[in-house]
Amino acid sequence: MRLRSFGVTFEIVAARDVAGALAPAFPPHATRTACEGRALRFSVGLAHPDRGRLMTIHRGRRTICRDAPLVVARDILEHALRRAIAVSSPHHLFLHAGVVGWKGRAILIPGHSFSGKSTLVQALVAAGATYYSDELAPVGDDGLVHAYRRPIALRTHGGAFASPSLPAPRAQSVKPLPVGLIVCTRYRENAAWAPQELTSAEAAMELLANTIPIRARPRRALRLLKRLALGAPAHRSERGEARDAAREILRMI
Amino acid sequence: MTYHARTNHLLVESIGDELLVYDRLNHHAHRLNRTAALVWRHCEGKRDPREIAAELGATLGCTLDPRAVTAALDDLAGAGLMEQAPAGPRVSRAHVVRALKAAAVGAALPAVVTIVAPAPAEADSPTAQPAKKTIDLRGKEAFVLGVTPATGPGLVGGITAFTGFPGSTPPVLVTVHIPPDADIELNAENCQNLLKMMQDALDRMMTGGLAASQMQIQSQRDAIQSVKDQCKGVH
Repeated sequence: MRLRSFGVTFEIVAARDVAGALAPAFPPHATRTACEGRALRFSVGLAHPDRGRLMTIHRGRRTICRDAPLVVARDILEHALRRAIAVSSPHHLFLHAGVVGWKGRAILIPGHSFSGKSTLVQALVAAGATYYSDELAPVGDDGLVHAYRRPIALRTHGGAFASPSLPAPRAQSVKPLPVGLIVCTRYRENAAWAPQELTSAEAAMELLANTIPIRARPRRALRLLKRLALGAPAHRSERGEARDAAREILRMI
Repeated sequence: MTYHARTNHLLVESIGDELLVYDRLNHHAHRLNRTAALVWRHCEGKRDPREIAAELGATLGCTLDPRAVTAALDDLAGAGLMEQAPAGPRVSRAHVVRALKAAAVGAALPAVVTIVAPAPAEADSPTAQPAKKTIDLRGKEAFVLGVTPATGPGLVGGITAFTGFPGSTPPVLVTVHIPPDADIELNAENCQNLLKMMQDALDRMMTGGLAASQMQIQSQRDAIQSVKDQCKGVH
């Protein structure tokens, strides 16, 4: 099976029933493609069929996991595909960021794992913003932010599970948006919301620190980051409860 | 003495009146505020700090203390953005701040902020800190035996996130291949966790509980020894 997502072609080699079970791991917005040509190859096999459905996943010739039950194999495959897209996408620059749409603009929340992005995105969506992503922000060469919509995954200490309170977004498309606000924040218990405006260069640095292919394509990345940073105000603040911060953030646009 | 700004292998973007400089040699990114950017731009090998201060003072519309220029040159050299380091003892930042306050000058103290650009493996891990030591597994094939569910950061770094957590799903053992470019910070907790998980994987390989060739077993032993060597003395 060949899939294409954000300009990256994958070939998933697996038995039909295995491929079906792994489908939730495929990138959001991926489409089947029949085009020949270079593709990133992932093969999934049952490690010990007599021991139940334990899976082994290879990327090319490299093993990326063995003896994984289905739920884990899906997670691992999803992570590997997501990473491959973020690194290899030819026409999009992937930032590690949450994104919501509000009043025709994108609110970009750059940040690494465990900074509270997903919780804040969920709160913004609950307050009326449109969900675009809780993890990755694909930015086109035109500076517009695209959606990367998958079920919001809220972390507990040491792991992740899908949020039970928000259903997985339906597959309808949302249009790419210009960035209207950049919010650099992380959770701290009882923190007060006290945004300080960043200079454009400070904002660009925050974005650079969360730009996945920065090392592979620094020139292109810098130009796009400059465009984003000059095009929208940026603020930094710690935050307490996500619901309160979400209200404040939506008032800023 | 005159000073040259380095130009090779650098990407420079001006953003407002600041500069973003990306060093392709070591993947460090630097933000130069207005004053530091002006100092750097004036390092063409023609002027000493006093002359740079005089010229910049005219540009900034205030008096710029040459010691502030020397401090900027120190910072720029420390960031690897100069062809050579300034001569003489390093001027302390505190000293320069006091001097500038005493002179009541309007120019901002020069500032150079540096981060290490994240590697792709850091797609899901908290990094981009000032340069930190990591456990180097390049060129080694290594496996760990972990407890799930734990994905994402556990695969590429933040190894403590890989040890599992209590939840509704019973924990399950899974073997995961560590990517050679995994970014695992070199600290005591990571060393302990990583070695345990690698040793558990080796034990399973040796007892036949995990299918592995002799070459993979030897590779796992080599990787464990490498991690032990790197973790020696880490507290």
